[in-house]
Amino acid sequence: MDRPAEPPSDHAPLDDRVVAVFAAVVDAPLAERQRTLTELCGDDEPLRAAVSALLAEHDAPPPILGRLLDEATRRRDPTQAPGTRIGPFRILERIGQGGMGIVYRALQDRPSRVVALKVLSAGRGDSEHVSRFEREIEVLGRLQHPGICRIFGAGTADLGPGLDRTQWFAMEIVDGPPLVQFAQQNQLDVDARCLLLAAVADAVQHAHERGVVHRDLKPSNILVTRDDHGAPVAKVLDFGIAHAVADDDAAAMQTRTRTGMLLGTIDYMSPEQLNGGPLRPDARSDVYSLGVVLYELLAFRLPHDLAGRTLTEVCRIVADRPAPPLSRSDRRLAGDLETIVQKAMAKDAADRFASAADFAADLRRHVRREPVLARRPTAIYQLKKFAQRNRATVAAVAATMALLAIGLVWVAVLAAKNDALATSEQGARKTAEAAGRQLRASLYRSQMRLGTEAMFAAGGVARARQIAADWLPGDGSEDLRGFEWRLLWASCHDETAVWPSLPAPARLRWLHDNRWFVSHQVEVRCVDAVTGRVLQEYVSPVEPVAPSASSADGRVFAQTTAPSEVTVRELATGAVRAQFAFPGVIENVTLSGDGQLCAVFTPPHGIAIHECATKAQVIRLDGAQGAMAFSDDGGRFAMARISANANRVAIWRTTDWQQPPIELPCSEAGVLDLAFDRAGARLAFSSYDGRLRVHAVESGDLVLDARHDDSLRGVAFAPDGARVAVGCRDYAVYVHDLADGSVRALRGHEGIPSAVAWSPDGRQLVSAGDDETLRVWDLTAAPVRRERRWPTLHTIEHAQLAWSTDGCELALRAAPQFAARWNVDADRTVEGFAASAGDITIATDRQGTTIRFGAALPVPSPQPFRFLAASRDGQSAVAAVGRDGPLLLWQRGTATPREHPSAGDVRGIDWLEDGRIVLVDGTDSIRVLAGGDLEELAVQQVPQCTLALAVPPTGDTIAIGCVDQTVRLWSPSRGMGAVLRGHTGHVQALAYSPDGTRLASGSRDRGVRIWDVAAAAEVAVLALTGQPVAIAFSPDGSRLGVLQHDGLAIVFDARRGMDR
Amino acid sequence: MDDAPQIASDPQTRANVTRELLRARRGETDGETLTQLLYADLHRAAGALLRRERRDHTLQATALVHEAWLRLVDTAELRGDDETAARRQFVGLAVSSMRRILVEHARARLRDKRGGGRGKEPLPDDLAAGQEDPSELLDLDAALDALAERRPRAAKIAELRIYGGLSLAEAAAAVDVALTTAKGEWALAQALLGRSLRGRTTDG
Repeated sequence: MDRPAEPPSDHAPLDDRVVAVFAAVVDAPLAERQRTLTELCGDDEPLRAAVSALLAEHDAPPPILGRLLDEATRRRDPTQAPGTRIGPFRILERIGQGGMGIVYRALQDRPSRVVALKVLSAGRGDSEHVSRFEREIEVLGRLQHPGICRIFGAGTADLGPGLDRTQWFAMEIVDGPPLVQFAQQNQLDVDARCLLLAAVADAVQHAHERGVVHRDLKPSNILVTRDDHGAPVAKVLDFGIAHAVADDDAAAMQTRTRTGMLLGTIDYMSPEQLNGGPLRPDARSDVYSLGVVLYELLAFRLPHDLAGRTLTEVCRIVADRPAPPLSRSDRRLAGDLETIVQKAMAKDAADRFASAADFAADLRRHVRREPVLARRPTAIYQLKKFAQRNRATVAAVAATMALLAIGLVWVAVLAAKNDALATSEQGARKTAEAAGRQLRASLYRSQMRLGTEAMFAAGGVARARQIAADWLPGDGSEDLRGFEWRLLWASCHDETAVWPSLPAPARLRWLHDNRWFVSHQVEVRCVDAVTGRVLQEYVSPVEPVAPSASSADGRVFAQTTAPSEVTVRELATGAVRAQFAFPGVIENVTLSGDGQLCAVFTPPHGIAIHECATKAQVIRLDGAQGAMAFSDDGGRFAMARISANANRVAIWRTTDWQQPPIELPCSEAGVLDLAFDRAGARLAFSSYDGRLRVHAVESGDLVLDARHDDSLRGVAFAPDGARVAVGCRDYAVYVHDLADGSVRALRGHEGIPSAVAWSPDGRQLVSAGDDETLRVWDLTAAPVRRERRWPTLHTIEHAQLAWSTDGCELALRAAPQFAARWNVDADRTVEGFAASAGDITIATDRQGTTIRFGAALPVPSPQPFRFLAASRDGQSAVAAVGRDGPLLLWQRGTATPREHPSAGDVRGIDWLEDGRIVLVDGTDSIRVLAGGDLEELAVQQVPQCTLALAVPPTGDTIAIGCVDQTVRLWSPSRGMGAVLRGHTGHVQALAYSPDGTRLASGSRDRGVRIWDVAAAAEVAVLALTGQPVAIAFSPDGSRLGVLQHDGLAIVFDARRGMDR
Repeated sequence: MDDAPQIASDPQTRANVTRELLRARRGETDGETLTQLLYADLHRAAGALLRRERRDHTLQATALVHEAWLRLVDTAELRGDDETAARRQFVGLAVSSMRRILVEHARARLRDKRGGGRGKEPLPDDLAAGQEDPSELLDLDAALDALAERRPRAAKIAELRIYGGLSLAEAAAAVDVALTTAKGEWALAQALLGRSLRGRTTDG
């Protein structure tokens, strides 16, 4: 490298050019430095030499600097002291430090529990760290498995005035030693160690199925604790460098970060991870790491001694040198176990177990002393054979699979499965086509799972929208969509129109002549609300300036036209009405509703209010924080200010500025935006800390105190004053109903909606977002998720849900708590349950339950019952009283039901298509009864007691909800079928979709999952706030009703996605 | 007294500190008096804090600075002034004080090593830089001074980062420059400090 002629001296003045070029080059990515340098220096050799010298110095900073910085960042960590608060947590002690964050044991306020709180290292606020931290949160949010540390929540917290906000997330705390240490301490035998690792592999498999690769599996990331029965439970943690294989984020693919840092721990890294080649690390990299962990767990030593070696040496050893056989450490490990470890740690990813599940399965086979499948030559042989048979189709399939890296496992699986079938070339093509279809379906399912999990999550809209759009039919491929897709589509298309706009929106008004006033940092626009066309535009000559403001009628607006100058103009003509100059730089401007008063905030001079007509200053107000607003009639003025060392909102009457203002308390974090209702009687203000408060101005009464998880932006009252809309940093616009306290989220923005405005009729909203769009929302349209609560004193255990035939009304019956009907469209409720099937009507009211067959007089039921079902032919109805009560059977034309002695503790009863009755009870059995006389035709014992039942619209594939967290399919004609796994609690509610392709299951894990019945695979996860006790699809399959044990009914409405 | 507040806040000190801050704000002083006032308080607090806390908790420079702000500045007196800007200036001065405390500490240790008398109120060694070679610390201090002559802004940012533990964004806010500018200045500071320190060690 060239050196300048003279050695650089400490005191020589620095050439500004050198500094400028150095600053530009040092900021460029490493790979582009030389190019940037050449570009900027041209043939100025001395300049180039000087900058190069600086770069060299910069790249090798003296060690003391690094140490002091580390120390300083550690020292400034204000969370070290026990008792410190971070958001809703109190720090108890520090329990660890990772590359990105510090982990504390902390006490959460509500619910009160001890959690592990990970806080982004102070001073690590650069974007690479933040985005990795965010990715970990996102990744953990996707996973829910007993073997994976659960995430409880995430957010940001203030560390102190003048300091960065920091990010945190809270997760389950695991009290236990790392894996290897646990095995040593407890002297686990080889089988126990194998089983423990198999459990870890299960958890890793769960992550892989959700499209997440861990990339840093090692014993210290696997902690072992004990469950209530003392059985060891291994938990995988630290998904800090995990990535989602479906992510487009190119950076996420790389093991090496932009700054060249190698992520992960070398000892457990696969050759492909170390070499950073074109192959992105996939599920099988994790299989490799698991293999190394197993090796260590069995031999209590690492396969390779990599300590003290250079990275190049490490890469070579891991890539080329076989690990010493396990039996060398311990003779008893020879044989199958050795083969399993070898297969897991194969140098070539294709030779490894195709999935963590396969790895786990083989380990369990070994423990059961069954023959293991790991036979390296066989697997390679199968793959090769398949490849030779049809290279082209393999390539095509592989391309599809690149979409879902974990899908690669299918090559081996399919090759083996279809070996016999593919005897001819044609057969081979069919096989490949089938493989492609299967992969596409599998990708669809995993995408839907991700999408439905993201759809109600903060910032998940963009992802949900993208996923939904990917599966719109049209390119000739099979339409795989079901309820889950329609719900996904509906959930991310709340808006009725989207118009392109400009960045940095600040203020928005919906004017009476259906135009919008939109102000940005520099531009002021008048936009046609129907066409989105820009009618007028005024661009400030200076930048950046404070946002502009308009009068209520939009006739005049005030814009910053110089850093210290405000001009008031007519919006239509641009004619100047007034101009004011100020002593300082303007930070905020607002106009009174009538356009008569103009308030301007110039720190540190406070707020000056001028009268536009006379150009005279009316008043100066001190202590201003920035946020301010006039009421529409101009009668009141509110501003955020510091008073007596606290943040307050102060409100003046504009007719009498001498009268001391009304002061309202506000959140410590300070107010971001203020808005009066039209009458000037109430004031709403939004805060950085996610608080939205509404006060009555005169009395100071708190009308609403709502808390969001993320910071809030612009706020606006509906014209009727009964609702308040606010934009949130989680990309949603929230509408709070002040009357009933309900909140509705409007999702669609792909950036922060920072300004909102209501249409004059209050039926629509418009919001301007950082995503450079204006979005219009129709508030009369039904939201995708609706809730209604029924007060109940007891936990509901048995309930029935039914939809009216038009799908508008959901009927709920939870004896003896309540019987009610909820008209979802009108959002009205009436007392009394009513459900009909054909012309049979079942009704429950205060008097009891009656059944009516057609026009005949209603037949009263002699006793209350848990479940009641009408037969498909409309001739009979059956009811189960439950807990050792009888079964009651009504037949058309007879007045009294036939009673059958004790039916046990019935948990579900229904009619099959062919007129037979099926029921499940507390004795672990499914019983099939003849419809005519209830004679028992078949009994099937299910080892885990059965809690719920669903019968399909056609056929006899009955679904049963079980205590062991599964849904089992059983058919009287074909016996036990698939087992649907995924829930993490008892499955206690089930429903088939009307077309029979989907099954919804509700579990004590507070989730509803949707399954593709034919594929026996999960396609959606819907999170709830309580345990679902009953589920029902509407007759057209567009709505899903859920009743929780606490009396909350929820409707998921996919109607908007139905006609797509 | 283990329960004594970390930073004393008698009305007199408070008034003095606030007055000096206001004077510095108006450009009437270079902040030297304020730095001295803060030095005394922060030094006392650093010692008290370390005596009080368990060994695994080290001194929190930033927390200390902010506590100083809360206890030593009468924000009500700042009315009319831009509080954010005042706070930035205060943070800058307080970090300078922190630097001075550490440097004094290094000097004292060096004297110790050479057989001189102990400083009258030595800081425990688990304070930042306690483990560092004191002569290296003093070299760094000199290098920062040299840097301040050539690129005052780069030196200030380096000081805030190294002694105050401020992030780039915070340091940028404290010296009131754009983040990108701060980034460049920090890179430059690293390069020049490195050059300077290397020169010293090779020169002996």
